[in-house]
Amino acid sequence: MTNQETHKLKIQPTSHPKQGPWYLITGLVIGLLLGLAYTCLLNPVIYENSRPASLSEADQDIYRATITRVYAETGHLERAISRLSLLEDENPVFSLGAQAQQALADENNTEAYALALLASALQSPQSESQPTDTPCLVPTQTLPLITRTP
Amino acid sequence: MTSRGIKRLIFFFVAILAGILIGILLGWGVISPNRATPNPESLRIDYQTDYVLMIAELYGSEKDLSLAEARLDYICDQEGSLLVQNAIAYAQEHQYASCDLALMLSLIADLQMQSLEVE
Repeated sequence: MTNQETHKLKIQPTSHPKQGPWYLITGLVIGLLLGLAYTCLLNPVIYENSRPASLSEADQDIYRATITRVYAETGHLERAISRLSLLEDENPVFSLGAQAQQALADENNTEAYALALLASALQSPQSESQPTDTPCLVPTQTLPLITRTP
Repeated sequence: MTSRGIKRLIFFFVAILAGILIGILLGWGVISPNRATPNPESLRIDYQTDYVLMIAELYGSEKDLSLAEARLDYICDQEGSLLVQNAIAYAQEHQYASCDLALMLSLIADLQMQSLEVE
């Protein structure tokens, strides 16, 4: 009797091996990799109709530098302020100052001067109370269209 | 193949499909928006037009065509004059001020003149 029970106990585990859900996990991982490869390599996200504020930091710096260069050449403060607002900087003066310092460090004196010029114009009280008499303002759909022909 | 084997095969392919779905949701919804940022070429047409106007304003005072072309390269990987033409069309359609239009027309005229000289 004791010998028969012992025999059964030895046989039972080997006759029905238990298999885990590894085939499901393997399938899931293969699918996940296929899905990621499709979205990242074959059909990645392409942006359209983006805003200047959504550009990378480097591209925003180029955009900001161009705005300041135009201001330095034309002196249209109100238009420069409107354009700067498109970048949605929390503190435009700080952003201009930081970029001016960076331009100075890179020995790009012309750009540094233009950036500092607009920063100081924004800081001066006149910039808020007395907008310059510009012939035409920023003509974008996102901003109020205040065009005035000379 | 046993019925158990067929069942496992079906569940295996269902798992692959579920994985693909999760991968697509992760890739388009989470990973790509965090990893990639829009480039200047993807700017909306009114922002592009304003940028072209800035270049035209600078060109109006600097009169440096190569510098203007280099600035156009920032926003456009194709022919710079094509971008300026599109910007002018948009500006005319939306009744930009005549002074702004004149600046852009001056830029496109000089760009086209230069391309004719090269040919």
